[in-house]
Amino acid sequence: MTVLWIILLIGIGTYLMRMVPFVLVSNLRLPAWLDRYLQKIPYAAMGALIFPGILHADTSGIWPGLFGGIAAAAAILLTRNIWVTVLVAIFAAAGTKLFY
Amino acid sequence: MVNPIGSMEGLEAEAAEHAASLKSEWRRGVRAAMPIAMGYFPIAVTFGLLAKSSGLGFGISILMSLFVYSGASQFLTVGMLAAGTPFIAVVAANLILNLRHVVMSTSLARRYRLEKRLPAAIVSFGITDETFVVASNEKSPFVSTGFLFGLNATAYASWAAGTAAGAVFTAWIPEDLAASMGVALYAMFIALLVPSMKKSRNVTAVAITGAALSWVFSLPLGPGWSIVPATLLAALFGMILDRRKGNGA
Repeated sequence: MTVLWIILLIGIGTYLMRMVPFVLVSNLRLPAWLDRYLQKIPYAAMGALIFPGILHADTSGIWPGLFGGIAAAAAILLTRNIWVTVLVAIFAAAGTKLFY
Repeated sequence: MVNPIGSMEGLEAEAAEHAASLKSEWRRGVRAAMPIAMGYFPIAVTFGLLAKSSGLGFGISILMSLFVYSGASQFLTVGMLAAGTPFIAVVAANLILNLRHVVMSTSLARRYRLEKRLPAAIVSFGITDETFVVASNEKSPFVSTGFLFGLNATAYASWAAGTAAGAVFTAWIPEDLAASMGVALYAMFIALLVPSMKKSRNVTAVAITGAALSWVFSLPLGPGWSIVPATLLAALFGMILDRRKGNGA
């Protein structure tokens, strides 16, 4: 029963954090500096999400994630195709484990 | 967009056009969500397996994915519950961890034109690290409600289905398979980020700063907690870089 309450509280809190800024800010005219700051957020977030998280993408160690990531960067530069990139990364990560 | 006054045909045509664009935007969103759906599924399966095997019931595991819908937060909750953490601490820790949604929602709202409150309130439920990144990479200056619905609903469906599959087939799914596919989401991030880095030095600097700070902060804070401070500081750095050069990136 208490677990249900925990889920309910976390769920409501997280939803409010998603919904309130989205509904309020989309109607607001922001000052130019804040606008420029928010514009940088996706790139900063992507960098922060990729590293060091990618090192733990595979539970067996850091190497599958590392080589998978390098392969993904090469694949997107060569093919410009997100699907090919994702598949290349999965195969590169799985292939790395063959050398253990 | 302006109708000749009194022209019913004009209004109807505009309504039809609106419905058609809603449909095509929805489809575009669904397509953009495919890499996310592919990446979410094995992670959700892993969550389902873990939640079920750590003693949470099938219903509770699914309910968590449907109601909380945040990977990092759900894994943290299962871990804390298994460790016997006091309930208030579990809730508080999760709300702090999920603060990053405020940052993402604010950033995405900048590119969203609110017409009606209800669709915006519904679609915002689906804002995650991944849907945020994909929506932010849209080329057009504004993202549409239809696109966001397609994107977010598809990612959500994959997360829910994966959790159910994991909780149902606890014994059937080889853990090795789930582990190898964990790299898919990171590959998607890289695929979205690298082309932007190629175009702009400032973007490159911001992303590398974000990664470096995320690593440094993760040493004392642990993974998951480092993302908010790293993102906020790296974006600030990017803003200062723009100012110095006097041009945007």
